[in-house]
Amino acid sequence: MKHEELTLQINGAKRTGVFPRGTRLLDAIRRLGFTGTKEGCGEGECGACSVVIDGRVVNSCLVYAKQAVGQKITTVEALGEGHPGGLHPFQHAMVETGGVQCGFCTPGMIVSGVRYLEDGGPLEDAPIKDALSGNLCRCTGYTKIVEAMKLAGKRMRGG
Amino acid sequence: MGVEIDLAESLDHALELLAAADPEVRPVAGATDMVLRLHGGRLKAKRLVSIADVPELSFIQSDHHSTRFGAGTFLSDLLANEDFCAEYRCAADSLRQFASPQIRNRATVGGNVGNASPAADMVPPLIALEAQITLGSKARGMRTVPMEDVFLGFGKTSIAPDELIIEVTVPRRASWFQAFAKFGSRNANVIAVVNMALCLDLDGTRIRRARAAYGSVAPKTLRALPVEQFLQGRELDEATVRGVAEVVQQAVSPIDDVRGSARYKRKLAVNATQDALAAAMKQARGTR
Repeated sequence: MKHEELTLQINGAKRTGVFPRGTRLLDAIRRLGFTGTKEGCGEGECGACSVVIDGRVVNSCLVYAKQAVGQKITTVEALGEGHPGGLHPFQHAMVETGGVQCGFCTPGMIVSGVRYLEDGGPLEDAPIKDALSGNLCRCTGYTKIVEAMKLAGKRMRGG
Repeated sequence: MGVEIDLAESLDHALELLAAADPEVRPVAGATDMVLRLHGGRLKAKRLVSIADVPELSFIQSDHHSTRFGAGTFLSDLLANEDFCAEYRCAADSLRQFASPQIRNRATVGGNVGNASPAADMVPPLIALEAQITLGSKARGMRTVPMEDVFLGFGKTSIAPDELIIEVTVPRRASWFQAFAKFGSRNANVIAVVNMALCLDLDGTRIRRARAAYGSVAPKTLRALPVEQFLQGRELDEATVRGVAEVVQQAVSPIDDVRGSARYKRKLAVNATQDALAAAMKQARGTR
């Protein structure tokens, strides 16, 4: 199989790797060491592979790595940077409310949740659930995750 | 895996990359469906021309008569455009129910049309809104056709291998009644069991013109001419709501599959049409 060299801008730093042609962004970022991003279904249903490209949350299993060359990629690893204890307020709140059980969906959930909170989304059930509708959790039943969103949102907005 | 990807930098560049008219060289935008189709072996391609970052393919522009938007505009950008959503309410309803936030952030109308899935969520509203699509190729330049004319059958379009979907034009429709319905096993990330859009130009309670389109009830999205003809010129009353049932029954031809039985889908198509007409009637009587 033919390979190609790609340079991706991940969490503010340029990373270069050699990948088989047609590699998905998910595989590229994991091979570059960012294993916080998980592969769940590999079909864009579960959201475990969510990352941010140029400010938009996407499923990294449904993007070709080459398409992300030159764009700013943010993975879950970077979201706690600059926050107390290295955790984003939403990550803190997830710990407090018990929004994490098996933990497999958590990185993707964090990526979607943080983007929504940073964008100033309203702290009400319906829009929060809509914002997280591309992330499946089979453990929590979502109640505690939504609770964590509201808790984090209030703290971020000084409430 | 193993597919080569060229990143088109401009529209001309994209058309140049497609100019050889090789059916195994395919355009791709967000890639949300392409990755799966290639991976699952449902489509063969040796090379992809990525148009995800071609600036000329991502825009929304309106004048007095119509709105044009680029085929590569991400769905979340359409949904974030308040003017677009106010003018094309049935399309906005479809966008809100389209897959998931992550997919809306990458998927495009060009991709939704080009895949020619009979379940495509954006196609029924756009056909009901009388959308036209503009296709371009290096060899033959541009051509504009009604959206419904592009579809030939399941996964099949009249788009040539060297052609690219460039933009969609939709006439102004704010004054029309518009409805969209989608049925699925859950709200997010679901392929429609049936979807449909109905647009009515009303003169009081009289239907001047009607456009109806249904998804997942035929090998391609169905523009239901018999339904349109039945409604046209008719008074929007209880008899019309009752009478449309038989016409819809006859117009659709769903099959039994994993998402539902043909009988169930037929019933959904009828119910959605009747619900939409009842809502239109209520609205028309309220504003008379």
